[in-house]
Amino acid sequence: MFTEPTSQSARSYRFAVIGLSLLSTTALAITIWMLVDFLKEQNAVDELMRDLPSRSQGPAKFLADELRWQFRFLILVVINVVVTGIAVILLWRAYHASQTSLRDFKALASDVLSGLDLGVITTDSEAIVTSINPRGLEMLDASMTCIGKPLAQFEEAALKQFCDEWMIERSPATVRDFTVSHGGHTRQLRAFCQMLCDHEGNEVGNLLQLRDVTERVLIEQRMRRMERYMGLGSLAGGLHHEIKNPLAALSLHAQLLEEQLEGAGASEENRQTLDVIRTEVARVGGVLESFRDFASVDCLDTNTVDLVATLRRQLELMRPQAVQQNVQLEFDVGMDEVLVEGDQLRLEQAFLNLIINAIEAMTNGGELFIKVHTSGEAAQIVFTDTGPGIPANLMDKILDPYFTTKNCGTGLGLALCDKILRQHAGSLDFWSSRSGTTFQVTLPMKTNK
Amino acid sequence: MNKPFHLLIVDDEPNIRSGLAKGLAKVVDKIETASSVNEALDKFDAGDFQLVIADVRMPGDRNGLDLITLVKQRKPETTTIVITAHGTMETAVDAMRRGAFDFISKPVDLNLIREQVIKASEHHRLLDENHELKENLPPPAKSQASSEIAKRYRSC
Repeated sequence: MFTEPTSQSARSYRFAVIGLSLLSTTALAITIWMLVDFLKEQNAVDELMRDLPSRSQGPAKFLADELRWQFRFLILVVINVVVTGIAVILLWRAYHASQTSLRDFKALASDVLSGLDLGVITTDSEAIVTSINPRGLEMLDASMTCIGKPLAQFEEAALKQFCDEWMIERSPATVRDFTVSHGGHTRQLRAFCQMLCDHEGNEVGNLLQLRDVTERVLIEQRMRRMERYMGLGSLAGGLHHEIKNPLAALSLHAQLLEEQLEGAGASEENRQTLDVIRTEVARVGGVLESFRDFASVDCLDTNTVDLVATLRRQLELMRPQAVQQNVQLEFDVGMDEVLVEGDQLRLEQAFLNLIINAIEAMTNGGELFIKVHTSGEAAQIVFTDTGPGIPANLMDKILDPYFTTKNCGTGLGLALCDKILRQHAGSLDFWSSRSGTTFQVTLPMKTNK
Repeated sequence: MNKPFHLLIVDDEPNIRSGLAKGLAKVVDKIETASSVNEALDKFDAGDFQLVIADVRMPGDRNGLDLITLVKQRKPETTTIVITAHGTMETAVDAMRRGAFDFISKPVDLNLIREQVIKASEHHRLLDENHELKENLPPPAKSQASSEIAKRYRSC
């Protein structure tokens, strides 16, 4: 994850050290050779002195003394060279030791960075990527070749833009969410930015952190939905009473009026008007009932429910409509039965809503895959259709009560579905792209206690 | 000669009271209305009602179901019909346990409630006839039968 900028200079240092040690070894050899020479010269002078007349003894003695001093001087040089050699060897060892510890430290740092569940990217002041950890590569679907290139290379995640914006405010609260998809999976990334400073405190670039918040976003979505529904139960009760009673009075008097008109021989027009009143009153009553069903926190009639058998029944029930709409139903299940604790009727209602929704989404026909699998203590049912998908701007709203894109629908189908699953300590999640939508139901499995 | 069939309608909604009263006027002899459990009990004690139609939810600490219980305690032969805006299974079962004749959810279908009221009045007519017939019967040979039994016991 780190590049090695010093490999060239490290090699040239090594050559210099080898050259210098060769040079000093040669110098040492020459000095020793000179020493031997001096010894030979001293012996020659000593022999000459024996044969010389006494008058020439003075200068010869001086010459012999000079030679002795020069010999001692050379020994000093040899000692010097040896000491220097030892010093160089010690330095060499120290250099090696520091290199090794630096390598260890780098390995530790990169192990830490590799082990992080965060994507970490560093850039220099020109927004050129200087390093990236493996998780970062995985998140951005990049390779090591991205190092040394501008930050703007990551097209899916506009990190450069985020970095520039962050530099204006420099607030740690500034974060940005990106949606990236590769390998068929859509992930939600949250980017954080920081200044990167060297040991002297100079700003040398930016440190970007990427966090995979896909799961967290789903949890946040669920929390938001739950908050929205809080108190809805009591509101529904109150509203139901407040509207149902006037409605009942209205309906009674409309019936009375109808009877009076019948007796007096009503015109066709009057009868039609009364018909409208009656159907509209019935409609308001129906809306009220479905709202109460949705919002009330009534008790579940809990039993052991086999999801496989339940789904199979629902599919059989829906097959005629599917055939009519040219939709193929595929049921993929690896197990004979998957047992959960729940209210059979309510779960059936939830599954039926999801199947109907999927079939209705594929107006030009298609396929609906239903897959049941278990992971740990949870059972998951995945409904995947090949419809046109949910437009991005509506994703946040589809589970809201009274949100509908259909002309004839109350907009309570998915909201009710979500509520039923929450009542069962389960959840409803979904993903959508242009090639289809996937709804995933998660329910806790029955534990054998 | 049949006893007149009197109906007491109890609901806190004035327009439902008036609507029901108008709609049922032809099938009963006399109708009175009350807007609360207390008023209903006062009227019930003062008059002679064969049928009480009561809404479940009513202001005050006693609701329509409590009224059913109280009416049944005072005059067990009274027929009661419960109407409610919250048609849940639990309320229906509760009402039946307290002795309600029928349970109708709002908005009320006039024809349906009329049918039930006619059925109730028929039931009361039969009860009255039965009562009258019993009263007009000659005293049964009760003493003879009991002496027969007494004889048998003695012989054992």
